[in-house]
Amino acid sequence: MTGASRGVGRAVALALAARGHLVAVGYRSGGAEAQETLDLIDRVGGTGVAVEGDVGLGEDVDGIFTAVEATFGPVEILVNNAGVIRDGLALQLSEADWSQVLRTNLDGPFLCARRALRGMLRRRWGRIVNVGSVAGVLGSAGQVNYASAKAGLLGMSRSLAREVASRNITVNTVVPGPIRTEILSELPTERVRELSRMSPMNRMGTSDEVAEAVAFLISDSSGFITGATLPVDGGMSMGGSSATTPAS
Amino acid sequence: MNRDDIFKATVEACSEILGVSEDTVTHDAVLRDDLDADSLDLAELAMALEDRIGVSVPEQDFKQVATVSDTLDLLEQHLAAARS
Repeated sequence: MTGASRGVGRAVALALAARGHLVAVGYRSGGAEAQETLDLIDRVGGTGVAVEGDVGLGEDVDGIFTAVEATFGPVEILVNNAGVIRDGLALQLSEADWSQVLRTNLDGPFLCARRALRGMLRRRWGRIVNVGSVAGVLGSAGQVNYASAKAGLLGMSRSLAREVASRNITVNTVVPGPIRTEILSELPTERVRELSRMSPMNRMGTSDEVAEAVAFLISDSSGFITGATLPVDGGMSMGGSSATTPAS
Repeated sequence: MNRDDIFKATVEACSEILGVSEDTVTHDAVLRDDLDADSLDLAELAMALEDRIGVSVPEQDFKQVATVSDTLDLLEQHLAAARS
């Protein structure tokens, strides 16, 4: 589970731990927060370990997986959640901010999936769930880098799903709309309000609501679901990229 | 590790990954046709052989392989290069 030290990632880690999965809590910068996630996992009676690394770097990814395999054995389930935002209008967006977001949010899931698939293929079973964003479906002004990475993630998920379906490995994407997490605190208040209004439910989602969707996609109940996109957005995207009308 | 050892490892890996009986894995067997391997099977086979034989082979090189004998040639070549 990458990006599991806080927010949606933490909620997913807890949901999986509560279901009896051994959870590796991946983090890049939030060591203390990752420890908090571990404490919470402990509290729900689960077992976890924190693993530090940058998912955008191939050598780090290898190190992360090697550490997890040494502690828990083969990785059977991968949840790609690690992400960053570096918002700005395209005209003013620096190349560095473009690249960093693409590297963490798109290279990262690819590198982790590629590494995880080696073991999954051997065992003829695996679950990969990518955490996307409604920004990748609808577009998002001021987030051309983030939206591009998240849109790319959908294509990546579907392609991977086709490549490994015959081996009983599923690859799906959960696509949250605006969720109340730390990442949103970096957006202007006005934008947050606007995002809430874009959902027919006229509210933001919770991390737990995303976690439950992820938990479903890795459960045995979802064995025939692959290459799918599961929106958790209060009806914001309704499966398409057509223009949405803000709730009045 | 000599050619016979590599052949033995290849037979075992083919049997395990492709689900074919070991006696069908002959030197002349064409991986895609005779052993019914698809692209993903070949990628898995390459990984398994790298693990068993302990040599790293670029993916591009494996793509050129058609028969079991080609596979042995390639692995032998890389083993020799690794030793020198």
